[in-house]
Amino acid sequence: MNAHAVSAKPVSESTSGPSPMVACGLRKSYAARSVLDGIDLELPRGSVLGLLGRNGAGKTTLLNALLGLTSLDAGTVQVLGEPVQALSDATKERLAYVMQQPAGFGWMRVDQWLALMAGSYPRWDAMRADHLLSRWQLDIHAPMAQLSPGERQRLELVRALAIHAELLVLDEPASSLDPAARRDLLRDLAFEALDEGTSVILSSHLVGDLERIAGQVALLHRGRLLLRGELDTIKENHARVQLPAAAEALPGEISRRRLESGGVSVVIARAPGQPWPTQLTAWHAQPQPLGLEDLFVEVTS
Amino acid sequence: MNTLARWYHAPAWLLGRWIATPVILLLALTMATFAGTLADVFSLSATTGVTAIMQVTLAGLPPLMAAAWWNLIGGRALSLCFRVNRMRLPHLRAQLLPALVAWAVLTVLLPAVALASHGGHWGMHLALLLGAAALGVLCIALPRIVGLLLVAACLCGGMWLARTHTLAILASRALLPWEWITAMALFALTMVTCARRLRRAMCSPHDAWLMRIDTLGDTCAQLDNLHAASTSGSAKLKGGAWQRFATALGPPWALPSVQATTLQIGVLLLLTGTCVVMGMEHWHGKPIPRIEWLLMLLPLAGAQVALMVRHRLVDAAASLALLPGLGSAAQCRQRIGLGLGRPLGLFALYVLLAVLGVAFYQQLPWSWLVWAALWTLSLLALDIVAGVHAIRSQPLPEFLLCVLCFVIALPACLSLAHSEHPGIGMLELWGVFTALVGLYGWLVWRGWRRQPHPLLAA
Repeated sequence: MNAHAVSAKPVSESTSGPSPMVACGLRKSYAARSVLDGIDLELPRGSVLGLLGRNGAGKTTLLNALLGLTSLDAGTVQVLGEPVQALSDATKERLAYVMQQPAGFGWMRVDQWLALMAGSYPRWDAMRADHLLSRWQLDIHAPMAQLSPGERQRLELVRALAIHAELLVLDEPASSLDPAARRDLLRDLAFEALDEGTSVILSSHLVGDLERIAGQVALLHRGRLLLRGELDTIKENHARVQLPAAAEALPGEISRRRLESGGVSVVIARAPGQPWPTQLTAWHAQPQPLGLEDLFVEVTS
Repeated sequence: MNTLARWYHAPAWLLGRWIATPVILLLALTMATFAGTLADVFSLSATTGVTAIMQVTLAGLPPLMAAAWWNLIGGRALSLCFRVNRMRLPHLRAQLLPALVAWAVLTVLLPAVALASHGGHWGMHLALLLGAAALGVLCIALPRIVGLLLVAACLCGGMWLARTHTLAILASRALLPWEWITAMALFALTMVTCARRLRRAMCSPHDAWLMRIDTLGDTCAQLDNLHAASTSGSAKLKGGAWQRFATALGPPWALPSVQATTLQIGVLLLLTGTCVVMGMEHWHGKPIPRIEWLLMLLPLAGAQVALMVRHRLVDAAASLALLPGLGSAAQCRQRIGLGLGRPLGLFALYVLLAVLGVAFYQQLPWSWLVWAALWTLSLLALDIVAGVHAIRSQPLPEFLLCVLCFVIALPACLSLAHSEHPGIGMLELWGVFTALVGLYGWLVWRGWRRQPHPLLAA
């Protein structure tokens, strides 16, 4: 597997202004297992970065590390211009994190929790919060402990959207939503990014959702970012070819999978504007364009 | 592997694999309390010949332990039962009943037989332990105030019986039917309450009923203040940012109102009065209160509070760490200290006032009693701080040290409550105890300072 060939374009190239999140050389291990292995990541301002990865790939660990919620073996993270381990209140007011499984505050009612949040965030938009609460049919008099995981996550989304954050970090935010609510959420996130310049990191298994709103994509596999860049660029410059089993490694080869027919399926990458490898003509192989989901499956399987 | 999966794969009949360190702490403290008290009672009886104290204490402690243990295991068993029903896990459900029976044999039947071999009727011991175990479960299953009143009522009854009959009551068959009727009533009430709780829980999406959701007026008032501050545009909240942490943690950390404070003082006075009046004894012609019961309950209460704080912090740590208003790591540390320290300080004040009141009323050596209360309170505070800084670590050595402290502390507390002039041996014991508390405090302080952020793992 050749990882170095896929970072075709610096992530911040298309943006202006300082990046709201910059991570360098993140390393994290649990016992002997390396979860993050030298992750570098820069989030362009006003962009939506989709973080893809299989179960257990370390997406949540990466998000936690990016927000300073887990200790690192090595590496540094800057969030909105401040070291993540020493975030000031002013910076915390500008960011929101929606966890995959929010917990805590079980003794409160929803309205009490909302009051706590409203008192903590100066930019709290009560009208927007009310609008989202009614749209997602959340009972504000219900005890927090009685909310289902999906309702709890929706409540966290209300908070994230009501504070007009400059940086939104969302861990599987749409997994518990029905299709209509998911579509609404994605539309809200797109508006946030386009109208207010909010930067969004979105971790999700739902590749279709990511394709709909993410301008940038990063694929986390075995602790490394295998793919990272603009979605369109990635899709244009990655292709699948079917070759005989004896075919030698191609330039820009990312993954190779043996087929039942005896051949191999190879995913290759090229630099933007460059032709596909000339070796393909010798094998009479035609590069097939890949959707994000196919690319994800091919690379991680 | 998540907790439920661990439960499913673990040999559930022991119901022990899921016991977290704080729970072990609680058990260890209970055991240490028992051991320390025994040591004290023996030393006291050896020096003063007050065998009645030993007999009553011996009779009273096993039920206390049984209640503490079943208070712990009852809640977990209910939670487990609820979850296996929801998750349709017949394998685990089938193991639950044998597990509970095994624990009943270990904590009720065997102790009853062991106690009966040293004196008293075995049926009396069995009824006492069974009733205490049921009471422990009821404290979890019933609303907190009802559970507290029930415990207070049983404590009053037990102490009154102990005062009037001492150990003779355990050998007498006259009260045996009444004892069994009480025990069976408590047992039946436990079964009915648990069944109702489970049925209600199955109708709701989550087992919030086990979380004892508090909606105290003072907390609501504090939240209203927060809301008013936010809507009026005044970002700075009245009283400082530490209140936000206290509010987020919920009762009893949230700012107490006059009404809540009055209630707390009233409950404490009630308990103290109960200890004094119901446990009054005469020693060398002088009435002495059983104040050690009050002091013995403190470490157990401290362990419970530490467990609660730890759970709430673990659940909400990530949210709190990113919540504006708690400041940088250093400021956050300071505000957590204030948020936890204020209610603790109030509680310490109540206890000291109660101890002083008892000491002056009974003309006891108040300085020693105050010292005893102070040391016990300091251990309680250290437990809670240790619970906070150990969000994701396993500070077992500190817990063991804490246990050691209790083993030494309680004999000292008990002896001082009954002696005007402690001997050289007791002073040495106090010296060792002081050193251990100091060491424990230093370990907690070091762990607290070493964390880069008080709400995040190191």
